Amino acid sequence: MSVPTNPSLMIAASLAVAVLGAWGALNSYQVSASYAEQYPDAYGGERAQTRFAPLAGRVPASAVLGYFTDLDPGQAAYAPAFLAAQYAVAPDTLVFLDGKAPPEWAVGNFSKPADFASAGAARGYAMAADLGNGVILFRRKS
Amino acid sequence: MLWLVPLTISLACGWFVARALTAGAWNGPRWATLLVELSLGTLLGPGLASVLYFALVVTGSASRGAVVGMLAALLAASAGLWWKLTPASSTAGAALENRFPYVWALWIAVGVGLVFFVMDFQTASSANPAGEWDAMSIWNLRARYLASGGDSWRRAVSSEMGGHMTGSTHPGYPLFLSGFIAIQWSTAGGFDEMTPIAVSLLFAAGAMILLGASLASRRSVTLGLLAWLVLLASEVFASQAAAQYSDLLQSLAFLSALVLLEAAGEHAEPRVVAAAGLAIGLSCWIKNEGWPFSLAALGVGLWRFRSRGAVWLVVGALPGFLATAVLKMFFVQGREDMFPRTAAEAIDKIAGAGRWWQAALGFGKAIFDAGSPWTHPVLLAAVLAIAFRFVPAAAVRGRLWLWIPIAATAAAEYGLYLITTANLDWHISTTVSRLLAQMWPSLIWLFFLLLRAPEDAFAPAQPAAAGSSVARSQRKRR
Repeated sequence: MSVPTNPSLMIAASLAVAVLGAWGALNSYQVSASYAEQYPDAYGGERAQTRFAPLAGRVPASAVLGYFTDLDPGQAAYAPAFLAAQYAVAPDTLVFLDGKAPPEWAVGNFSKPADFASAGAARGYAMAADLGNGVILFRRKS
Repeated sequence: MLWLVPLTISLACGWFVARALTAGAWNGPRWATLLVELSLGTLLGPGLASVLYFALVVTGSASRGAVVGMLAALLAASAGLWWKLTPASSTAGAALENRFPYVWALWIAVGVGLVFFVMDFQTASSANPAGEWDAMSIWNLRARYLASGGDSWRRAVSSEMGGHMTGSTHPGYPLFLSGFIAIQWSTAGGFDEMTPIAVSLLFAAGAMILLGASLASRRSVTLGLLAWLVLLASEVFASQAAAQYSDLLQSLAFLSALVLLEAAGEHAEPRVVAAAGLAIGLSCWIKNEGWPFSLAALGVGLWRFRSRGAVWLVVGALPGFLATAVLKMFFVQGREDMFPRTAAEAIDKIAGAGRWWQAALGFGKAIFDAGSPWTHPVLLAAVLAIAFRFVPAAAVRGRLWLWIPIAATAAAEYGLYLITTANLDWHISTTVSRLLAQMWPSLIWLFFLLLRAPEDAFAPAQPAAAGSSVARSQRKRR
């Protein structure tokens, strides 16, 4: 036996869903617009591509580059800064300098002015070029 | 903009394959059939192209010329398939005549909703052209490695990627999305940011279009339009569209597989069964979450079609399954860092009752957050369920088998939370809405499959009786 249906109720429900569905899409847009306004380039990918652009051509193609920064691993910005830098320099790849065979080249990703040469020297690297915006290219000493 | 050429070729291949394998399976109006074929094509063409590209990459022959040659060969083969297999006339049954009097109002609402959806996408993509976190740290990064020639591709499947940070090291993630983006980049040269943006929109649009168009084709135009409206109200879906992640591509694959399984279900037409197999295989070539879906869908497909279609289902599934298996068995270096290393560790985690609640609450919160309270998609679905009612119980039982792959996927995702070695709060908060987004279009489609078509209520009581055609034509004129 078929379930009785009420055509008027079906029309009313359909029109309600039509209005609410379009309204819901508007809500999604408003949420997105608000988020975009508050957090443009939320993960730093665009800034990183601008900052690391001068690195192009200064190291061998698809190089393995050491990476260090003045950010503390406990800081919220630490991981995004590394991942944005990694994306910006790809297909070069970044590795943390953890005592294992240091690569010939390294990049420093600094959040504020500092004695970059000393920071590199402490890790066995000499400063090769200040690429601006806190990006420093280092080369391994001997 | 040279990358548009391989993109267009891939889509053309997809349409040829979709048309060749599914012509005659869709009952609805011509526009709906075309939309179904095009949206299935957004999965099938790019999927096959990425599988072939992967073969070129791992054999060290992914030069620009070889990639162009591969695309040309794929285009020729898919056009040949279309020429050879497409039947001259449709064998599908008659379409359900649209009798719903306010269908025009639904079209207007869908149009308005789509405008907001596109504005949402444009706003989010402008703010974050490189995509969200995982796009930058996983999907697009791997595409850059794949497209850079030489041995760079090995970095895309190495645990070194992401500096061993939890959540950033996924050497075993399949390569559908990254491979497809890499095709455009390696063909055009450089890493144009518009490519992943366009690809992201393509897959989101594919999932959305397939949802409504398939319902319009197989059930009723009104139900198709209403399904689009429920999806448009789903922030859980819209918020992922511009993320440049694999999740909406995964949702497209899940939905494609279910739509094709349903379309093939009645007569196990070999062409449609093979298309279902293709979508099932490609489902596991996208993300690891595709595995439980693919295995469950393959299982129910084999049970459903038995000897009539089992071979075609398996043949169709081979490209996706083989590519994923070869990647994982022979090329992945390192391991996922979120899984327990021993069975004892896994059992210890599963035994923690708190984790079960935490995971359940995570899914519950994700569903609650799927839309705004007054326009929540679950609320809209409830309104429709009350007004339309469900199809008779026998018909419900006849369609329940289609829920099995999605249920298996949900269970596997829930199980992953139970055993993850990452901080559970962090893991849930960063992934659960995306896991839901993968299943969301399929859940909406499955729900609408169980609803009574409104056209039934507006149809003549005895359509087969003599003279009813006159009554029908008069009603239609009104």
